[in-house]
Amino acid sequence: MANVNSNDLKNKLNSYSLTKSLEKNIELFKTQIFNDDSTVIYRNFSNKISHIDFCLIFVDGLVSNEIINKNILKPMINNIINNKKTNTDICDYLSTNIININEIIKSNDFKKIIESVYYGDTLLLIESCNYLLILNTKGWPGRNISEPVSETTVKGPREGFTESIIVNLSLIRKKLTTNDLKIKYKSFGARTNTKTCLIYMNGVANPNIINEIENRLDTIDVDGLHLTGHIEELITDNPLCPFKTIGSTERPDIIVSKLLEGNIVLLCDGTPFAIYMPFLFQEYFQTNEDYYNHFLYSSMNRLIRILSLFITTSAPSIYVAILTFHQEMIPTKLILSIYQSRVGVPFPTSVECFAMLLVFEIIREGAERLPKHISQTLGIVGALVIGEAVVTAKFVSAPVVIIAAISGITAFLIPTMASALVPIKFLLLLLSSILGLYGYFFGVIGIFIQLFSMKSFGINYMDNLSSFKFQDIKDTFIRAPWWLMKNRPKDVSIDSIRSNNSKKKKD
Amino acid sequence: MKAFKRITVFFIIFSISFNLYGCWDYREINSLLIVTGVSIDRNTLNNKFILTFEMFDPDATGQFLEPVFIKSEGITVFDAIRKAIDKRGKRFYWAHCKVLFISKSIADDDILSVLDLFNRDDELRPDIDLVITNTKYAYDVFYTKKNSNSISYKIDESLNSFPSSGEFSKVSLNNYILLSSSEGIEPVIPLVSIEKCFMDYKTVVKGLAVFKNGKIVGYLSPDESKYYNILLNKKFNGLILLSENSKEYDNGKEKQNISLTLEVKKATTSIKPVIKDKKVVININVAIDASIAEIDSNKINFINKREREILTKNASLFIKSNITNLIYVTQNELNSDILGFGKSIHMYDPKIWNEIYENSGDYFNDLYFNINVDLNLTNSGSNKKIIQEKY
Repeated sequence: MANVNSNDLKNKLNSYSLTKSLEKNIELFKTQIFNDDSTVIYRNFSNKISHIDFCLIFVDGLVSNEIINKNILKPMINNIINNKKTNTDICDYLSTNIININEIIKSNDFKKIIESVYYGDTLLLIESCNYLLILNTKGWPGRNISEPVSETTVKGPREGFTESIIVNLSLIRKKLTTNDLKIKYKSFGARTNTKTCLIYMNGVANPNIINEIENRLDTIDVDGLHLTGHIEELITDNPLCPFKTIGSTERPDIIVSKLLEGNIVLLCDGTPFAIYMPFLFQEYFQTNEDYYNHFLYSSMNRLIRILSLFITTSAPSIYVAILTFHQEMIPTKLILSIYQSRVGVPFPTSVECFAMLLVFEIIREGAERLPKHISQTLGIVGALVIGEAVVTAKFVSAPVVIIAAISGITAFLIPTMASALVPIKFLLLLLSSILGLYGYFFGVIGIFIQLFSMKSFGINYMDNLSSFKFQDIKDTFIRAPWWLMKNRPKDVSIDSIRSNNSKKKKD
Repeated sequence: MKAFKRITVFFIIFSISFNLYGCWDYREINSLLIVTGVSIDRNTLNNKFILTFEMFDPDATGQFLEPVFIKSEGITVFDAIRKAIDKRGKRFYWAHCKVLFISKSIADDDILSVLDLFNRDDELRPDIDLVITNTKYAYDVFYTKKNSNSISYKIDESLNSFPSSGEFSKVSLNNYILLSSSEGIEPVIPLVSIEKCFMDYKTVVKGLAVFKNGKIVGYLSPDESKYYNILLNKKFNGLILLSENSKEYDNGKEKQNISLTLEVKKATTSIKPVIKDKKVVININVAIDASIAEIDSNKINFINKREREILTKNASLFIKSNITNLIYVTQNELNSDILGFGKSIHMYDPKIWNEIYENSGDYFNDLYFNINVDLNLTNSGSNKKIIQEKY
């Protein structure tokens, strides 16, 4: 049933047809197509001069009543409809002479008709005409453009995407006033008919990547689809790998800069998140704030983020490895204080570490979903009560609580990588509790092999990170000053020169 | 299905490996006893070794970490260590052992016999400090324990501060073994003794024990130790105490002794042998940068140019005489080449060294010295003047 090519659905649609009789047509909609749907409103009216009967069909709540009243009903009731004089089809006559609506489609395709009605359009049924007009009267309630909660900035713009694809497109469009910006509509879902659109910069985006994305999108065949996250998972390169190969953001400014770098963007109706492809490893550490701040400050922040990746994944495992296998690596004073804190603790260090990391993940997961004021209580119970009591009750030694807390906090510096950090953290901890530092390095090597073998839409995932050329690494570990960012990311785009600025001009 | 099978097999292997992993290297930190120092004595009655271990053993609450002591006897050193494990039930952990206290009686006899184990063991760090205890038994030093401070770590800290006093030197295990096994140089080991201080007894590191062929042949006084450090180019920031005759400076009638303290900032020594007709002359050049740190006089300002020049000359002579004295002591009283003159000949000309050394193992008494001290008074602290009384 879910299939787009499902014969069931097709046959059903093909069985409908419009006749010349207005009553029969209304009957068709009332009894067969929109039966048992009380939100659909039928409005019969006739022209007061020419006495032609019409019927409007629309869904309550999705349409703008003002448009229907002013721009459809008022002109159609009051004006003279005289198509016989010019000898034109009444549908064409109405759309050219009478109705004040910007977008009118004449149709008898029931798939299109049903979609339009549920998308806020109004159907105009005309007496003795086996076509109907689809009038653009969309006026559903939507959220205002506001600052995205998940990606706030201090210096950046305050606008974020909303759930409406049209609004989102306009946010992108007004920043890129060029006809090189290409937008292709596609709809997915046999039942949801979700509108999505593929956006790219002509002449910058690599056509091979566009083809690849379109090929993958064409294979999507689902019943319903209403999230970019859903599409992401269906077309990603490594669905089993926790590292993302598709980026997503709520901010139009990021999307615009990604478009200019040659990335291809996909918007989906109903999601305030746009996704862009390809997504490379280095982009985990880039935030939009980096590009608004001074480059030295941004570079430092980026290095801190990279450091935090190391700390959050490795702090527990290195602690366990050193404490249970390589005590000689601990300075004397430190080993004495750790030694003291471990007195009377019944569990092995690795068990302690596993337990505390798990507790942290439980608190994090709990606090994430709760309303703000309740999550504060959770934080206090989690951090103060558990953290303090667990140490005084000698369940867990104090350094392990510190390590778990540091590891948990540093993960928040790279929130987009969260899905990958937790499994890596536990994997490395497991390996180092079996084999010590030897096992830890096994794990790290394995992760690197996986990362270097990955590709995002044909582009090497770790691109630029193994290079020493300045133009390759300018935006990886550091954020180079703008005047030095002369090239676009290689491979992703086809037009490599981004700017010809030279800062060192002296008069 | 095939993939599912593979995943299942993988998980079975993975979970079995958990039961097999008993890694030889795995040990929980609280299954260990951290040894901080060991003293070695010999029981004169049965000729067994007596080892006393100082180690940290926390009480059950984990609130306090106090050093505890375990004494054990054994035919060999290792035997004694193993017997000590029986007494406490936990494995000893040697990586943080800092000091090895060796009793004088063992050092008088043969120190190398006890050092072998510590040199051979892989857990013990080779930079462990060696000290000779100037007490009846080596473990007597542990009786000075107060509060929860480790005696060994306290001694280690004082040993590390040797450049500021210079009255002893820091000698590690590998350093000792290197010196005692190389030709033309002999090792020393600092001495620890117990002194009464107020109502307590405290350990004090002072002076050096001089070795030859693994036996103590004599001692250097704290003052001689300073010049030992200078001549061996060790870091030395100690004091040189002078007693100056006031007559020399102001032509006054009264002869008055004025105490002066010089603080050495930097001392570098170069030892170069010159060999002529099989007669070996050792040229010793000592360059010292020092500052005038204290003047116990309210009349003569040694910082003025004329006085300073006289002072420099006198102080150089004083240092030179001290060095000469040290060399005399090592040559005639101790007969142990701790200053490494033989080694410098060896480095300068190995052929001649072989000739001299093979002809007579006793090369040391035939050496002649040419000592040159270059003292440079760099500053006088933050004062140009002296504190003067009103007339």
